Amino acid sequence: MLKYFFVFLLFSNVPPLHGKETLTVYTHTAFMSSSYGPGLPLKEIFEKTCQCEIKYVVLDTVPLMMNRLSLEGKKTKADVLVGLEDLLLDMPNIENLALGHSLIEKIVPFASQCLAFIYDSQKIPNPPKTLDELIDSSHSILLQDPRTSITGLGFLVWMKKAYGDQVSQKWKTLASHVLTFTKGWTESHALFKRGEAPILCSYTTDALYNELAKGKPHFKALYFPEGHLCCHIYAGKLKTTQHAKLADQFLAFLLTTEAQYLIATHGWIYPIGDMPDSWVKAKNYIPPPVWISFTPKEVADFKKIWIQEWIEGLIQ
Amino acid sequence: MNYEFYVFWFTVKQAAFSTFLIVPIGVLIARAIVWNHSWGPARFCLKLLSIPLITPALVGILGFITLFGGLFNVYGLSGIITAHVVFGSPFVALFMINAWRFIPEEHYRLASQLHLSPARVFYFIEAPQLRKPLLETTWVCFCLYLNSFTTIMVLGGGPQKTTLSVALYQSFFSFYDPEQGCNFVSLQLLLTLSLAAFTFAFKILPSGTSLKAPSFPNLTAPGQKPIVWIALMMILLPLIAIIAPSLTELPQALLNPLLWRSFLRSLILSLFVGPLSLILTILFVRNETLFAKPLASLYLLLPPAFLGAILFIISLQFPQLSSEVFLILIQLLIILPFSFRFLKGPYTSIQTNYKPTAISLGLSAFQRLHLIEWPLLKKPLATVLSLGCAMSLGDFQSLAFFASPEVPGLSGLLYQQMGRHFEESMGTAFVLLICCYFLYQLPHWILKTHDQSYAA
Repeated sequence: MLKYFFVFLLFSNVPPLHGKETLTVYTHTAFMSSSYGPGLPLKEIFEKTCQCEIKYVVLDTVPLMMNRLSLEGKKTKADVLVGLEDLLLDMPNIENLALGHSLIEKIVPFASQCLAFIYDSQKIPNPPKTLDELIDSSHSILLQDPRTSITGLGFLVWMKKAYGDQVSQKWKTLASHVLTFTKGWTESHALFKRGEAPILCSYTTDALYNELAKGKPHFKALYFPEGHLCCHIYAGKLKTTQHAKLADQFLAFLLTTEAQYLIATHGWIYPIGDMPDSWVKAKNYIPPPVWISFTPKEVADFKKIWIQEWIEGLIQ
Repeated sequence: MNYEFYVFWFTVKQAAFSTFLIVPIGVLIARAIVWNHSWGPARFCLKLLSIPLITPALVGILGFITLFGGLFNVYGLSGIITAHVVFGSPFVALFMINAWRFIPEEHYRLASQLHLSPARVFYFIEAPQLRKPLLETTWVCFCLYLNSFTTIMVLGGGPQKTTLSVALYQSFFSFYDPEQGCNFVSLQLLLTLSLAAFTFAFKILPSGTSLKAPSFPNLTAPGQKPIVWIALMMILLPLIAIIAPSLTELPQALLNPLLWRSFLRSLILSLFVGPLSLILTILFVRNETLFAKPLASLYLLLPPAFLGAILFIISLQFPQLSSEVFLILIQLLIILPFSFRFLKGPYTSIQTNYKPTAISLGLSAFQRLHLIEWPLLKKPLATVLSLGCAMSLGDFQSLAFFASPEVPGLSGLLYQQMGRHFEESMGTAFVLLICCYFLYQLPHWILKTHDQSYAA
């Protein structure tokens, strides 16, 4: 028995002689979800173009992916990372990127997404038209805790950028009709689905997803003309990779029209190029909003202070 | 205001409000049951009073959310207090009924000869006799709600609605902010020490119970019957709210392999912890040194979240020890105070009532055990064992500190699902509930000591 095991080990470690190269991709659950998520179709198409195999290693969230990477350091098996966001570019690895001794060689933006409030138009016929109106309204709202959720962190940055020094006061007004701050986006989305509150902090494309995939066109996104908080989504190539060429090929592949289409229609994030036809025709389609400007460095440097301001607003 | 002090203030506020509401409601329920004790629904209600104690906290809260979720914002102070009232007042009623039966029946007979109205009976007869147990119960409630964890974990919505226990847990485990976590630990320590000082200064530690058979005065008060119905609804509605929808979700939930792995893990753990807690309780009860009682009553003062944080820090120092060891340790620490209370009273009264006689009759230690102690202690021992198993299975707090994400244990799995797939969680809740009740009854079935709910 043991003998066979060793033989197995021997074969499993040695790359096949005339065989396929394996590209190890670290990503997070949202990218790989079975009901949505572009991971599997992308793998299928990419593998046709090369003598290779994509092996996904799926971590729960983006921060967990980065933690795993910093834990493994230079010994990591990852060749490519998928799913980094502007908001999280403060993670230690990327910070080192600037200093030139990072694990990551380069990052390529392959999509983007914008935060937006999703509301139930059957319950709210006259929705707020600006962030100000939303804050001063009395609608019950579901938000995420910025200390644990990337969506929550996004909205924290949004509020700060919109109100600057007044932000604590605005948080106070908003908090009076916030149902709860959940640990992550998933938890708040579950409460929203059960109808516990009519407004949820989510993404612009969530309305499209609800209309096109779930047949619930009455969940619409609030479009604020003054701007939304938006992020690029990146894929990165690691310095330590043994398959540099293949990794480059994969990053380039993500930007092809075919891949971009899959990323949009399965991942429900904005592609770099044109929007899919089905989106533009949809009732709930809104063009990508104005981007509120911020830098990843700002978020990294001031996150703690902004969280402090948020807490001060809530306990006033 | 400083955030840490704000949390401290919120902790005290919610505990004070909860206690302020629970105690009167509990007393009303107790009184309605005592006054109508020969009436069927009241007897039924009396049997059900201990159910909230064995029901896993998470399952109860799930039922609570299903019931009240649509009525008002349950994620806040009002939700926390209402949940405490719904699950706490039966507990208070149980303690108060035990106190009530020490009121001599003659007093009631005299009162009826004097044609005293029920209000006057309460003022002249009941209130003076109940003052001490009432004070104790109030204090126990206040301390317990200061350390409330699971309720706040689920119903506290954001940093402005959180207590010290939860805040210190989250600082360490969710926000990776050990600096703030240490601030919370110090505040918690301050709270604990002041509670301890207060408790010992005023000697309001809970006293033992008696073996005396419950004697209820022969009274009827039809006017109080609605209160019994309200109590029955309070106990049963959250359970019905879960059981009814869970039956349709059950087949789907049972297909989840994670459920089975968690179930197995929790079951093995509880079969380990239950007997271990029994042995530990017996050792503590038999130990007559001064330390045993304060040590066993620590639960009132020291929140499990605090113990968990300390044990977690210790566990980091001993990476070679499996986290199971710490899981067992913290569960024992959580269970011990409760089981100690269940066993201490009966044991002490046997020692004082029978031991001198038995010794003067020349009975050997074995004969004493066989003839006196075993028959009288069989039931409390079975209760301690079953309580240990059921609490270990249903406890969420210990799992929050020492569970692996791969196999979260039943309560841990339920907590995960509650956030994500509400319908699926119903099935898990049902499994957890049934397992807890089964484990609670099993020792009683084996020892043929069917619980009559007078045990507390």
